[in-house]
Amino acid sequence: MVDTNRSGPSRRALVKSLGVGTALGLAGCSGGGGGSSEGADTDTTAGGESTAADGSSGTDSGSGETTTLNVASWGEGLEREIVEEILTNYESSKQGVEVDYQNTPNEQYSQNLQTQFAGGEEPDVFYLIADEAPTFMRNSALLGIGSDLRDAEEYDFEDLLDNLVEPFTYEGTVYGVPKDFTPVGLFYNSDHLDAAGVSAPTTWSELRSVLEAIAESTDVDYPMAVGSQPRNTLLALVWQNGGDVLSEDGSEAVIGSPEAVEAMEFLDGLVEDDLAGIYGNDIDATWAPPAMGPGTISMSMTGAWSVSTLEQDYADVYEATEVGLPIPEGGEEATISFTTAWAASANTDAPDASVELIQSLTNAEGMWEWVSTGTALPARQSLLERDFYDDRPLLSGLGDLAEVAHPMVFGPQTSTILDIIMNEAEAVLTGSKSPETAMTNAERQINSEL
Amino acid sequence: MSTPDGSVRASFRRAGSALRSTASRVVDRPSEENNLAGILFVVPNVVVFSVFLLGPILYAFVLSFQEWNLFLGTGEPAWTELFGVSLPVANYVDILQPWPWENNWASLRSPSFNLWWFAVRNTVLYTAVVVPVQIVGGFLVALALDGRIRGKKVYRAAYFLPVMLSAAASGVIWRWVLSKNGVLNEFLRPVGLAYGWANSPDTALGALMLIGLWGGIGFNMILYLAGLQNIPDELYEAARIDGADGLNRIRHVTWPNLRNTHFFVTVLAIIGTFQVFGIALAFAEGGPARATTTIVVLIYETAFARSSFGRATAMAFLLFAVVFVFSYYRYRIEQQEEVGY
Amino acid sequence: MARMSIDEMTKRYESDDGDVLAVDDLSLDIRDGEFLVLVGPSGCGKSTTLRAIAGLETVSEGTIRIGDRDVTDVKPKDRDIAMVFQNYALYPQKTVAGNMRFGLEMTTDLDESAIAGRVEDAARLLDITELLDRRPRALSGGQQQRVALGRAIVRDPAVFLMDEPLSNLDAKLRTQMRTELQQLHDELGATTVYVTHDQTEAMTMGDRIAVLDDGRLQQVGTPMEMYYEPANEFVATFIGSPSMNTLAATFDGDDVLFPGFTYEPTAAQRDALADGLGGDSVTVGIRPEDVVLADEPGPRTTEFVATIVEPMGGENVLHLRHELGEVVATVAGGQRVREGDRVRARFPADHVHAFDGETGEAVFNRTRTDEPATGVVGTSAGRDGDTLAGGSDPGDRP
Repeated sequence: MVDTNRSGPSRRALVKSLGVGTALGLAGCSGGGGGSSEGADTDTTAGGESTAADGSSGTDSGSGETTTLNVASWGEGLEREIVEEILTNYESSKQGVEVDYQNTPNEQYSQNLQTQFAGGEEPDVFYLIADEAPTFMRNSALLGIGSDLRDAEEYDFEDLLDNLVEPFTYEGTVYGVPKDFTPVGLFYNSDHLDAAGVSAPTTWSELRSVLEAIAESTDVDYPMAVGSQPRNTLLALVWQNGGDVLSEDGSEAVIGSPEAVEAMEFLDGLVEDDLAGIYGNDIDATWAPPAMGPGTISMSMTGAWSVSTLEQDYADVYEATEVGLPIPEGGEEATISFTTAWAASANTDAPDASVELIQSLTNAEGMWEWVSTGTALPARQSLLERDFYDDRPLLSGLGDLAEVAHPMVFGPQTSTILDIIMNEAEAVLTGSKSPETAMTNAERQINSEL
Repeated sequence: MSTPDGSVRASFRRAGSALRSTASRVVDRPSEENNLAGILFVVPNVVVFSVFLLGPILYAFVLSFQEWNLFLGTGEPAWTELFGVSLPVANYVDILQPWPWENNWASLRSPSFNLWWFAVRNTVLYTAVVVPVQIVGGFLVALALDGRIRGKKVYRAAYFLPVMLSAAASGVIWRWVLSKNGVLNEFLRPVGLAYGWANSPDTALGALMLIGLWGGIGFNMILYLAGLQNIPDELYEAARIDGADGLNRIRHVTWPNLRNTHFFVTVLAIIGTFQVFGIALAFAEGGPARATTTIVVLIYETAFARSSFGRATAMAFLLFAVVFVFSYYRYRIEQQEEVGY
Repeated sequence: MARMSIDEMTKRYESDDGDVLAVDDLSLDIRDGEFLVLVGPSGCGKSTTLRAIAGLETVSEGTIRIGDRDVTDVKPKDRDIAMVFQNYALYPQKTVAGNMRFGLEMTTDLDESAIAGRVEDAARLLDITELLDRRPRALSGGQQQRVALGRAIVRDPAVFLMDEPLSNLDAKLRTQMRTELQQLHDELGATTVYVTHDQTEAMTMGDRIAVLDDGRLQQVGTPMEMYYEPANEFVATFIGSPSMNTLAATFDGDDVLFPGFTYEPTAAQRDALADGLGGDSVTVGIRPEDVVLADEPGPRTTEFVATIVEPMGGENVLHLRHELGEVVATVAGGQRVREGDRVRARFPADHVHAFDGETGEAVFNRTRTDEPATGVVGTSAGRDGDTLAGGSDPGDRP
């Protein structure tokens, strides 16, 4: 409640200062996107000119029936500002709709959301991370929005990337629209490679020898960094090596397969030989930018979320950083992607308004507003093709991986399954278990959960 | 105040004082006509107690027999076949099976077999080390700071400070101290003993015990200091005249006269250590590789990370049973000692 | 059994606002087998003295001897003493037997059966044999008192030290225990130092009494000496109940002048006053039981108004108001006086004490009688006869 109350005035204040600029930006974008959303344009322009305070008070008094949409997301700083801005614009463009925004820190978000659902107090429209979607969908917690959006004018549902919509699809119904995504790729500091006299690795064995060369000829702390629970790395390696977590039909675990064990062994070997250090343990930093930025680490598997920090805080290293994806000899190109959708509650009192809001959050303009910060990639093909990415090699490099990137979604037990695998992997990387024992243990545990 | 076990202790104290005040009220006012007034005074407490404590507990108990659907907000009894009868105890069976002896005690050695038993192992190890050391340590510190020592108030405050620190803060501080690049290793590196204490599954539980001790000794010290104040000086003097030296005075006067404190301290310590959670979560989130996953951390994860509320409440009641049995037997022992008088 | 002596003992406590003098230059000899009572108001230093004898307090100056041994720097356990505490200080977790034997276990090499034998002997003496297996909490106050005594007796010490041992008992039990303690003392004949604030206990129990005030010894002597020949005004008012009346007056070389009343001293008293007084102010003392109601006006007689009458049964305690101050008088219970009555009373010359108005030192004391009471048909060598023979006078101050 406090959050909501606080977000109100700040949103208005924000719009007062940004209103005109936003309106212009939106108008420009919508023109560029090819849509002819005239109504939206005029409304937002009006909102921008008249200030949000006027707009919202007009909404309050103007209609007898006011629908309040509760919206929840995580995100600090720019992300929050952008979400709030879109919400305010939507609010002022809609007669009789009020938006209450609730921001929850990322770490507590998912727990908070579930608790709200349990208490019947869930928001109408909210962020939903892909690996949690199956649970929500199977329990009929979400509003089916696919058909409405397909029918919506000036929305272009088909433009959304199929493999990103898929995690939010259940029994043919689409329950969420990906707001963005990022594949994971290998970020490497090309200055270090040059110093070691090696070229970018394209295979695992090249990767290993490149790391050895860097260790040899530079004074980095560790050539590479991984998490002790290697969520950004392990499954990409498993997939590249032809392994998987579950069998095709999802009925049993196959993470104990030789391919998966080999991937685990490869990663463990890097850690064992001090070619890779562990975040928060060997390395003080806990994610890529503060590790790679000071130049003490050369490589890490990471995604678009690292790009803007790298660019803003470590400009030199940003310039030198490139993205690649080494795979085993004869392996397949594959990597992990992370995606989050806007979804709506099945129990919402205002399904139409919810769909409309999601529409404006995820149409080309709404999505671009956010992804043009460079913190994530757009879930729309048309946006990925924009010139914006031409001079942004890291983002476009990640974008190139979009086709081979899969979200880590394994049915309703996704979080449990990932938990099991990552804890076993941690035991391996901290030296208390062999890769084979760990992966077969993981397989057995997952099977007992299925 | 929030300590690693602060809430439990606080409620224990509250319950204690509530009991005492109720008792004195009854003794003071036995007459009939005052019953109504008495009931009126008690009503708010009973209502609050029922609505906010008893109600949720009963609800959770029911929940522990159900497969709870978070989204529908409904539960189905979790049936399972047990001894040829169908009973709604699937949660309990799933938690407890396989029994540790069925897989040659593997679940006590590795978290990969049955996480409940592994968490029990972690918790029991933690308790077995922390409770005695915490009690003896608190006692010794209290003893040292009870005498005439220069600056004893400063020492007392210093020992008590960790108690006032929130579990989250102390977990984070200790992680910082004990991690591979932490403060401790700055001192150990020159002698070649630098190690990722917080990051190795072999040492993380030990590190957690250290945090527990750090936070617990000060609390026990305060209780023992209070207990020491209650021992009449004459007893020490009588013992001196009787020829007891310092150690014998501790053995024959101090220690036995702290019996009530011992009882209170052990019960609180056992309850507190069985429920260790905050520091474990903040220190390593139950890791690395489950090494610091205690029972309550597991309950927390089961409920909030895996959304298995039925199973989590079942775990909570298993934990409750264990703590209850411990406290009860400790109480019985206390009673039996009392009977000797 | 042993004699004991304290020689010029001083005890100072250091505190933030300057040192506190708890005991000031105290010298005291205690005879072998004697029952000496240290008495005085609270804070007078009597407990400190006792604890110094026990070795529980160090002394700042002076020496303490038990027997022929200087024990000033000896640990309590090696002083050959036993102490009984006001709150008994029994070990709550030990049985009665355990309490009694603890000292023997700690300090002697006696074997199990010898210890048990001594405990049983002491228990029999104190009639607590059936309590031996109980714990202190299950005992009454009187029983705990006996156990505390037993714990002391078992050790067969040279000196018993008792710190207000009866003050936690109710009045009736206290009287009873007083008698028993005396009998026990007679039986054991042990040297005993007994601290109390209660002058009745001091008078009834002590072979000799040492009165302390403000850390200083005021007077040592037999109970009778204390009563008849107080060394100063403090002792005079402290001993005896109700307290001695003390009335401020001036001595003009001839008569003692009170506001509204003139006391005409005897020739001997006049000489004593002339010699003994430092100035002209004098405090006249007379015990309530010595004030005599008079039918006729006469010398040393004046009229009062009875303001309060406290009937005690056997006697009435009258509070008499006069210009010179309030005077308390006790009269036989049969003599009826009502509150508000005008009462004529006389200060008999042979019962009057006088103290220097400035220093409080005794100038003269009342005449002391030592007549066998009517009805005494035979005399034994009782302790009173013994001590009376010693005699003393106001000059006999340490």
